[in-house]
Amino acid sequence: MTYSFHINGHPVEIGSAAMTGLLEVLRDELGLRGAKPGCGEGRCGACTVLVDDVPVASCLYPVALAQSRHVRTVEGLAAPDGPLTPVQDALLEHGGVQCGACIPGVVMTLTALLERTLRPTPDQICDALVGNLCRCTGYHKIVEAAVAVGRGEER
Amino acid sequence: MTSAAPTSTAAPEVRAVSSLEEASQVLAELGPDGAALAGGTWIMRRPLRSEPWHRVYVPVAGLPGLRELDVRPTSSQAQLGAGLTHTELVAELADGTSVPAALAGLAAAARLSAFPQVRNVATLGGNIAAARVGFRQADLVPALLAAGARLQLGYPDGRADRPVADFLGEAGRPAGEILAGVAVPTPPDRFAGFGRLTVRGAGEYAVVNVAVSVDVDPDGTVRSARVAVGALEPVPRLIPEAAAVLVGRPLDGTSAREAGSAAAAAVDARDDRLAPGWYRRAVLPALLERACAQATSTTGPAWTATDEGEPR
Ligand SMILES: Cc1cc2nc3c(=O)[nH]c(=O)nc-3n(C[C@H](O)[C@H](O)[C@H](O)COP(=O)(O)OP(=O)(O)OC[C@H]3O[C@@H](n4cnc5c(N)ncnc54)[C@H](O)[C@@H]3O)c2cc1C
Ligand code: FES
Ligand code: FES
Repeated sequence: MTYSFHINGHPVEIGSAAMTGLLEVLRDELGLRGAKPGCGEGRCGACTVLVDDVPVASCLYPVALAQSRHVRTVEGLAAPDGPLTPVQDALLEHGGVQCGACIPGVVMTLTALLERTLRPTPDQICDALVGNLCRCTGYHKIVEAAVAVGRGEER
Repeated sequence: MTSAAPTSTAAPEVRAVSSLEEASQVLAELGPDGAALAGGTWIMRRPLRSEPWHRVYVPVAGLPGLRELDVRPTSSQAQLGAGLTHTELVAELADGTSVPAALAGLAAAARLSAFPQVRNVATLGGNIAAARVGFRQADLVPALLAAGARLQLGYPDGRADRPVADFLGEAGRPAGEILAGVAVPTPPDRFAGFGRLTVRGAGEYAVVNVAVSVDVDPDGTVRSARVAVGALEPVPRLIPEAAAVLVGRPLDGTSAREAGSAAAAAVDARDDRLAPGWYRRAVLPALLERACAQATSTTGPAWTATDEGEPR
């Protein structure tokens, strides 16, 4: 059985076993190592990707359920030599990135939030980030970065 | 779905079907080798719980009928498909103005559960069904119990309606039984609330969760009440001793705390990694006060808190 879906706009066919986590497929079959294996149980958000524009924990997402859907990962946001997205720029400018382990997940969560909510409040940003653990930054800089993107300071 | 131990150690298969009837038939034939698959957020952690996979999973959340949603202020009941995600429930139920007050507890439970990345995927049906197989902290379940919800179940040879408590309480379910949806009564004089306590400020499983719904006479007297508690015993359940305390008087902080004490006396709270049993019982009165305050907060009768602190 193969599963067909889109990754970052490109169609893919995956022959992995049906209940393989999407995270494993992304990293091991497709070489997309942006999403990180953190806890492996839905608690840390390091593996966050968007499925049909909605953040999901890819470690718990069976590849079989991705059939016919559109998956977006951090690799799809900016080309290797292209400009970063406003969210990525803002995180760098506001000091929201330290070790970086959580950042691909944070970027995907914030990207989805800012696509739905043009000017999110700090409360809305914190609510959106509840599932993204960061052991370094203390979150304030990340929230400031997202507020700045909402204000259009990063476009 | 079945309670018998699955047998397979090989990589599990996912078998797509196109209707609820077909899913029931396939699962009935598979018996202990098969299980329904919804968002997968419970099933995918089977290896972490040292549970073997079933041989075959049948995706059900997207089947026709399972994504139905009908919440009208004028209707006497709300219809919620078992395939709706927690996020979809919040989006549809949390708009306080046009949504019946009887649904406020369920909306709060869906909003406060888990994390966005999980709420976007985990389903109403998966939450209820997981509560039968070890997930005693399932937040939607106490809210559904207190709301007097009825489950709509599909079988290979037809359908049946059951109260939530029956579904949770009976050991062993017939293979091929699928949760299709939930009907929640929404009488205009019913008010509902929900409270939970977690070790961190947000996310995480509840140390205790509690839901209440009350039917209130025009003079403010509670005519009937239901209180349900989760996370303490192996399966969430209604606590009639607590509900009885609320009846025949106005709902306020004092009656809520007394009901909470009655609930604490009635439950068999287990110790676990997160908290000892005595602690869970000790916080119940305050949590029930919060849930009752929420029940009255929008359209309900005026609220008088206890002196022990304004509920949040
Ligand atoms: C880190 C983390 C934290 C969480 N925190 C919370 C929390 O605080 N509160 C909370 O309420 N939830 C929480 N959850 C979600 C919860 O643990 C369950 O994972 C979720 O409710 C299951 O829903 P699902 O749709 O993913 O079900 P699945 O994993 O697909 O299935 C769960 C069970 O239900 C059965 N099933 C599913 N759908 C049906 C159906 N329609 N008919 C019959 N059987 C069915 C399956 O066979 C299986 O036994 C959390 C999850 C994670 C990963
Ligand atoms: S690795 Fe998926 S949530 Fe932690
Ligand atoms: S930057 Fe290190 S975990 Fe977030």
